[in-house]
Amino acid sequence: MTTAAAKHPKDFALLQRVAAGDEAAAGEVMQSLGGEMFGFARRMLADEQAAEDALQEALLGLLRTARNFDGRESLRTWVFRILRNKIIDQYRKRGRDLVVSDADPEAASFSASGHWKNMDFQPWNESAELLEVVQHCMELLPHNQREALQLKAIDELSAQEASEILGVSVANFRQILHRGRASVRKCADDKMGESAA
Amino acid sequence: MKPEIAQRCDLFYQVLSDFVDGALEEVDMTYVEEHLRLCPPCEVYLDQFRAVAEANQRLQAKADAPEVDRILRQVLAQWQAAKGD
Repeated sequence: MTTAAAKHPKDFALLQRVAAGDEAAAGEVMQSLGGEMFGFARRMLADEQAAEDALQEALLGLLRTARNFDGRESLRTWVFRILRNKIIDQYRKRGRDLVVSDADPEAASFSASGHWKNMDFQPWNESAELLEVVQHCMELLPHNQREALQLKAIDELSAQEASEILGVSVANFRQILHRGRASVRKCADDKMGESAA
Repeated sequence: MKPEIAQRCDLFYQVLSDFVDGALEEVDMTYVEEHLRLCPPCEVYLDQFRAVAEANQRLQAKADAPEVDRILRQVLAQWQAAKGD
C-alpha cells in the first residue's frame, strides 16, 4: 500500500519510519498511546504485573510488525487490537477463565405487554461509594462486556473504532455495551440497596 | 422509528444506551422523552443507567507517567537489542 492509498496517511508514514528502524518514531508512537494502553490493560486484568506484561508484549509486537500496518485503519485501532490479544494471552497464561456472554440481564424483567414486572426502582443516594460499587460490579462482568465498557471509556474512541478493535459490527458493539451497562446497573442497585438497608 | 417506545418499557430499555450516548435518531429521542413523562419507574432506571455510564467514564484515568515511561524505555531497549542481532 502507498501513502496515497492509506486512509490514515500520517499513521502510515509514522509506522513506515518505525519499520525502517527510526527510534524517534518508535518513541513517538509509544508516548502517544502508552498511557491509555496501560490504563486499559490494568482495568481489564486488575493485576499490575499482568498489565505490564501485556503492554510490553503489545508494544514490542507493534514495533516488530510495523511494516504490516497498511493505514486502512487508524494506528490506535491497530495497536489496541494487538493489546487486546495480549490481554487475552495473559488471562490464559494465568489460568483465568475468560467468560463471554450475550445474555441480557433484563431478559426476564418485562411482562408480555412490555412493562416492568417489578417497578420498584429506588433512586440511589449521591455518594462517593457509587464509584467503588460500579468498579466492583464491572469486575464481575463477562469479558466481552467489560471490554466494551472499558473501550467506551477511552477518550474520543468512537463506536466504529471500538467495534473494529473487537472485530464486531458497530450494532453488535453497542448491544454488548448496553448489556454490560445494564448488568452493572443491576449489580450496583443490589449493592446500593444493601448499604441503604 | 418506533412509536411504541413511548408506551413500552421493554422497547424504552432497548434504546437506553444509545439515548444516554446521544446516538439515537431524533424521532426516537422524542418517543423516549414521551415515555419518560409517562413512566416514573423508567425515569429512575434511566438515572441509574446514566450514573453507571458516567461512573465508567470517571473510572478511566491514564496510568501514572513515570510507570509508563519505565515500561516504554524497557521496550525500546529490547527492540534496539533485537535490531542489533
